[in-house]
Amino acid sequence: MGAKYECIVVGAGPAGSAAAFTLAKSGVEVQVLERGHVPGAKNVSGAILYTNTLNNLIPEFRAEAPLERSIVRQRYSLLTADAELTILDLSAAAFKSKPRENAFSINRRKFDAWFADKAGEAGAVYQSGIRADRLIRDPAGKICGVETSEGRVSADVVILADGANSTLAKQVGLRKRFTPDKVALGVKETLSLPRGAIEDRFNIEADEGASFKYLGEPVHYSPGGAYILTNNDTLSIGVVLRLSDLSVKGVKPYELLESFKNHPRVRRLLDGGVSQEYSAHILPELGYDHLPQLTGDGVLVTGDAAGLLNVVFHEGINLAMASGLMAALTTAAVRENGGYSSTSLKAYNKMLHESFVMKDMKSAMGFHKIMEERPDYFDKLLKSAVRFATDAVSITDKPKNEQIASAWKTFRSSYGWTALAKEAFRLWRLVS
Amino acid sequence: MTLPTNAHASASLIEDKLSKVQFINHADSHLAVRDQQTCRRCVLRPCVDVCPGAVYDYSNEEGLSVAYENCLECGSCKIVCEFDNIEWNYPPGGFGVDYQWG
Repeated sequence: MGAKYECIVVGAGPAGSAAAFTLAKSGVEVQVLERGHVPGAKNVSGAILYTNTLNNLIPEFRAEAPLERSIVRQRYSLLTADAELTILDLSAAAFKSKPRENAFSINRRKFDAWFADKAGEAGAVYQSGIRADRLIRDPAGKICGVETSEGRVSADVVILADGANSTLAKQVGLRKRFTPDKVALGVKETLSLPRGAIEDRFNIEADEGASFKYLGEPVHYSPGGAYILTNNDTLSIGVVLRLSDLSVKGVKPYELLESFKNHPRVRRLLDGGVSQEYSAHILPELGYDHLPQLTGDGVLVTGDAAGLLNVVFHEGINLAMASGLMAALTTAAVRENGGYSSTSLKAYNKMLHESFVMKDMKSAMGFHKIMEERPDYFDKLLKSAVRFATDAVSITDKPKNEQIASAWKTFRSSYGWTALAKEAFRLWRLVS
Repeated sequence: MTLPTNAHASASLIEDKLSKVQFINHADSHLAVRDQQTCRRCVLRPCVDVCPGAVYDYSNEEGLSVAYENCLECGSCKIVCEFDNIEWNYPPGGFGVDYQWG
């Protein structure tokens, strides 16, 4: 240690390695500091990898990367204690070929290690097993390096890709202390199952994957959710909900996970699965208007550390990669423009805002508003929707039109016309 | 509000889940309680409820105990502690949870 690089990247996740790869390709001397003993050892996600950015970085990734299954089936359901109403179940062959093939299940340990290797081959220097303890400022206040247990490393620019907890961004005042209503906890279990059983149960072919997502009872009707994702010969099963909702419910996260696994509409999908691992991670559900400061003098913040998470469409890894790429392009431009100045890094913010990253963060603001103002929103909506569907299709001695009218009347007893129109508009705005 | 589940069943559930997690634990804890008196005054002790690794336990005799060896490094405990009473850090480089699947 004690070395000097043009750029130091803290964290070897998708944001950090996208940044390191891009920097190395641009000929910038870059060192990556990773606290895990190998890249991937600390990283957890759902985990669907959306490859829109990866495709630009490494177009041949499909042949090279350790991918699990190509997600061709996406299913969204509302769960109550004893019913399941599937609101979307889309399987399309189009998702199996370019240009639409862009969602894969992955094992983060394997994938993150591969991505780091690619950046290493491009020329980035990886130092694993080193914790970045503090950012160092020069006498003028510019951030000029990182203090680690192994000593100091100096750099013109430091890119923070140190994950949701980003202790370094907090230390230099780029972000405030988190509050429990702006952070979700995800707990997950990986269960092994024979490949054939996975394909039969999820109705997919050998090279296909499925993503099942659930709202409602598994997270006690809070604005969180649960999921099952198919890997090669394992399933990822998880629940995600805000820390504020978790504290209020007074139930432990692993109890929620276990209840979800044992839900009558879920358990048979997992039957016989053998637990391989249990994991946990937080999600920064800050929302666009509570994002941390993304640039400082000598520092850029990317990925989860920057709160770049799309809570409506459950995207994170692609936003992380895109932000890492843009942070790297901004840093690479420093040298071309004749050296670092205090305004060198402003372009990063502009680049993010012109891309899908900030446009999607802005679109998700409606959802964040609902989470802030109406934490019970999903309780009434989901229960009423499931009740309506159940009533409407029940066979009784009543004529059909009476049966459906009566179901509708029950539904309408919870929602007046104006309320109904508002909810419909709100739902539409959430996805548009 | 869910009724408190059987404490024994809950302990056995998390013990079972943690047995599937690999750790490279350091001899020293990376987590610390700043002031036990604050925990004694705390009514809800949300750290105990939200921690996915059951790291925290409270008793009148012992106060708040910290089983750092079970820490999944998520950071939830320090976020829910309204008294900012948990000194939270990552384990030293190379140590701590070692996810194989993530």
